Amino acid sequence: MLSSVIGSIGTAINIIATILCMRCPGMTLGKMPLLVWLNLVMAGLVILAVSPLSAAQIMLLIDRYLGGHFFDTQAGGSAVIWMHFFWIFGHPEVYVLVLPAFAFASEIIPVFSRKAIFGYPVMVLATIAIGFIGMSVWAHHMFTVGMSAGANTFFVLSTMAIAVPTGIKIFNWVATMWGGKLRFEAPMLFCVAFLFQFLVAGLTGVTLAVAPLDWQLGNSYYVVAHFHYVIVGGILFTIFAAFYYWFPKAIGKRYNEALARLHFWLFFIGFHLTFDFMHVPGLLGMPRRIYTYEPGRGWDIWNLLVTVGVVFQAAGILIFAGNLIWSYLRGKAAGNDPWDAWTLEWSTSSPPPVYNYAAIPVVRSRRPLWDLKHPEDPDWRYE
Amino acid sequence: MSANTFAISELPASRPFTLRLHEWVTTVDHKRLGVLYILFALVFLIVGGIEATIMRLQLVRPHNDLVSPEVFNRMFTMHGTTMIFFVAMPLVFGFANYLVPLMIGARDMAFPRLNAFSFWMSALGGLFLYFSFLGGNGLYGAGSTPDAGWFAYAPLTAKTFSVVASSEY
Repeated sequence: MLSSVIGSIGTAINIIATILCMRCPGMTLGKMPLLVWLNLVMAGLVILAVSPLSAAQIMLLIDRYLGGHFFDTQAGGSAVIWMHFFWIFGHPEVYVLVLPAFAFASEIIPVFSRKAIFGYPVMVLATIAIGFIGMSVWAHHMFTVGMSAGANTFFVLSTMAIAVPTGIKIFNWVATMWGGKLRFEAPMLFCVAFLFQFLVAGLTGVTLAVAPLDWQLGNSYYVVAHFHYVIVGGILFTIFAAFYYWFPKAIGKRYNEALARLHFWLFFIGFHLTFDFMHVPGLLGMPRRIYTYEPGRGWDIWNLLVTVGVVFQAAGILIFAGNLIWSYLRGKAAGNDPWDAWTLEWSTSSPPPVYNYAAIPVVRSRRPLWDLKHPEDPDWRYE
Repeated sequence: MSANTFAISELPASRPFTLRLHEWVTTVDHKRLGVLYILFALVFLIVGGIEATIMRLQLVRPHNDLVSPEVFNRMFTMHGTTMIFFVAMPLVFGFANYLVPLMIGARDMAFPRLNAFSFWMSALGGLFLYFSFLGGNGLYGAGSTPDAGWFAYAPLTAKTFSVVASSEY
């Protein structure tokens, strides 16, 4: 585990240095694609959040092998310290994962709506706000530990506050789609499902942020349902969208659209069967991490439905894998710019050569390829 | 798309498999490392998915006895750890690696060698974790696979309650 943690920190430093030092001429911070902004904040969070985890892992090793007592309550240590260390990593980690998901949505939704992203500066500010607030919400995982009323209040409020920048982002994506010429191909389908599912996941998150309700629901299946809604419904859906969106660029071939849509619908149905119905046994009191349960508590039918959903999800994943392999071997040539997109990567060949660009591009706006394709009406006139 | 836009065509197109493998293992190219991250994540996505499926099959009806309680504990621990550290993180880094230099018009990351080092450290972590299936009794009884949940809360991972080497993985 320590080894992978070192790898994460190295990559994060690398991403930050790349973004700050290696932008092409003309690309000021305010002209970077949103994906780059979101990855910059993500990398910052990785450094801040993963370092405490590696510290805690080293402390645990000292406890176990060198006779330390960091976490040993009988020798004056504190087990709660581990919880703080873990969650000061654990919660920002959620934002580390969700910011790239936002990044994919912020690139894909405009291209498939044929409109520039709505409210670029606000999106950047909301991202930075999520980064800051995300570092101060960790103890909402620990309401059941019994912290002071003051600490509880702080973490309830900070957790609810993070819903504000997230809400701004959802409004901006919807505003981008509003009045656009929507193309519902596989990447867009996954992004639209993401918008709705992430909204629901955020709402159950706010219910859990209410400390007294959390005392009731903590460690129940409701929590499991909530975070899988975030991670699968929010993050995995946009990752599938990103796979389909950039597959033609990375491989140089088109994927099979019909199979991709079948994957979407199977996975969508499976996701909702599993994780919608997982909330119910949680509300009925089923704890997480139990290996079996008594019949007659009203949990049986819900658990059956949850497991049936797994079958659909597994079928979806198999079709996804099959589609990638088949398209890699037999797909039709994609061309350099199959989506008529606006960011720089679509200006080079598919797949890009080792050196990416024969001549380093010069940009004047947030949508350099739009300027190239429409010299009569370039973006930089308006920005 | 015509073949002459492929830059790699400077090398002979049909190279022996070992040479191509050597190129991939020693690469410092951000695009290849991005693809490696993503493939690594997809393999573990299948593994973590199988662990989730085993848990759900166990819970499909009350008093099911597909797996023992010990194995169930290891399944949810490994599912959580795998999905966060060896699926989600590599996917995020893989896409960031591939796309960020392309989108900002750069030729590679700022530190290409650090990039390769980071990927192989992550891969090593994944192999270490799954190495635990082989030690001791592995999955069964007081085996060596982690079983304390992915948060690895302290009293459960302290020496008193976890006698074998499970948490170090």
